[in-house]
Amino acid sequence: MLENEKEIVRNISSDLIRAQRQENKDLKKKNQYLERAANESVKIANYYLKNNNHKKSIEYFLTAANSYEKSNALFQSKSCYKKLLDIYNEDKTEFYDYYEKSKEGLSRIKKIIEEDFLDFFNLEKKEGRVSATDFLIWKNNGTDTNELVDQYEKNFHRSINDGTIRNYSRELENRKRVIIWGGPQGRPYHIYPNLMNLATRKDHYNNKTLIEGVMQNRLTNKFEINSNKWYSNKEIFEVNGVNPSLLLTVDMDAFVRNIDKFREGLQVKAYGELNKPSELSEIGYTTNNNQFDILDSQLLIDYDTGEKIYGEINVGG
Amino acid sequence: MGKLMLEDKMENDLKINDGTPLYILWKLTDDFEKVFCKVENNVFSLIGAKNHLFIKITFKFGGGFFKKNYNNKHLYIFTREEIKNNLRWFKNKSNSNKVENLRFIFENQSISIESTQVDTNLNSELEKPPMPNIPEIDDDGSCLIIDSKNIIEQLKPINEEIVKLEYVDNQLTMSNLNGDPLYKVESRMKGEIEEPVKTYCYKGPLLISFRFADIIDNSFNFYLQKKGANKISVESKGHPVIRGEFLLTGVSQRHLND
Repeated sequence: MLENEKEIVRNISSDLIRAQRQENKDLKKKNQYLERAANESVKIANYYLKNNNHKKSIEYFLTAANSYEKSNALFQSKSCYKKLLDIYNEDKTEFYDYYEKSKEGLSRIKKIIEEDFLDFFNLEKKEGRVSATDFLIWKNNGTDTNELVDQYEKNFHRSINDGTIRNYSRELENRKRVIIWGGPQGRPYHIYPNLMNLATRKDHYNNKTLIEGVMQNRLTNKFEINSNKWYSNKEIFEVNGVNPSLLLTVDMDAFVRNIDKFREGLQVKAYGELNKPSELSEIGYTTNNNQFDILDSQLLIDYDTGEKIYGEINVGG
Repeated sequence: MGKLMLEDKMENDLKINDGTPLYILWKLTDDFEKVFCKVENNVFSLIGAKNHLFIKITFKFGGGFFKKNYNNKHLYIFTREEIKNNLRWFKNKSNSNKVENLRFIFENQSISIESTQVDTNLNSELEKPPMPNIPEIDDDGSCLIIDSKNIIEQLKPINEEIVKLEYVDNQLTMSNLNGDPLYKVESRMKGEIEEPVKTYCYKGPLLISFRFADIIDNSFNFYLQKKGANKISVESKGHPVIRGEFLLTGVSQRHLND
């Protein structure tokens, strides 16, 4: 049960109205209201989906898709449309109108991402340049500030300096659109799409990525180990702050060495490969009901101190 | 109140005249930064965990060692430094064998160790640490290795991260991935196997397992699976009974193709 369902619904409506009021006034504020409405819409859409209320779930995923699109968060919007098509494909008997809308939306977004992006962003305004920076980070599935400067110039035929890119990236991080690791002085930022609230993460499976979250229960003992497939010795934790939750796997060496740090409530940034839920059974760890995506971590950072808990520091962008 | 506490403490007592568990604990620090320890139902277990290996060595004490009704479970994790700083006496086997009236007192986060020669404490890094989830290992065939020192000497020169193992015609063959050079180890078949077994292991964990098997006994059982994990098991029937189980993860096809 979502405790504050009514409040979330009310907040979404309020944010959409606020966004309308900022139309032609403050573009950044408008987009922030839309982003917030979209994030909350995904949250409640997942809740309705879990409770088999497909109609309401679809309505809120559509609200999210539209709001993300209007706020130039193209990839988040794309993931909502993809999720909608997944829902329809699982339950073909109903919701055909929504299916058509979703298909059109997905096709429109894909065209912008692949062909029309140059005309889509208003680079005369700062908000347009920030959105264009966000677009490049998502398109590249993560990058670093050096690479981002090159990519910006190559894709948008405009020069931009490292300091500006860092400013834009920090702003995007504050708006929960990306996650940054690295810096500050002299060292590049490694910047990754924020998959925290993504409608579906399927497009990001098998990619290296960075997530933020809060360590929850250790779930290792909930898994049976199938010795025929046991290829790696892992510890498994639930991570919250990501919607839906995901599982973080940690190599045994890293776990034992840092056992005192793995406590419930620890806020972390984790870098590693994102895998589909079934991936854990591929390395021998099976359970009856694992629907969570897996992040096979190779770098873990204490969010509060910025200190590395374990892992390689020289990862690519 | 004072009397009750004394009685509680007495139930956590273990008295033996053999320092082998502490000698093995010391030896584990050669390969493991930290060692898990579990004490439950007259069984004292030491567990080392790595990315591709679990080592579990249990010491089963006969009746009368623990005080009666001993039914507590204690979990510890000891760092290498803690062990090195506090168990120096048990660094070598001859000292360990000489120990007299060795008494363990199991507390929540530490073990007090007293004897005629030593009076020390081992403090756990955490109270009730999370213990590793140790799998059960099946096998497609097993063999008895009758000379653990010999197999260690045979394995050492193989200059590879991954070792290929083939068990056929009563002989275990260890080789590099190209199959050359070959090292053949005399072994005895244990039970029936219908066809030859070929499997892969990481050399480091395999060597660690062989070395600890050798500490426990001169011969050990090797349980091989064509796919996935393998297991080595060894038992010494002295007092206490020492049993070693060494679980080696498999080598994935992806790794073999690298």
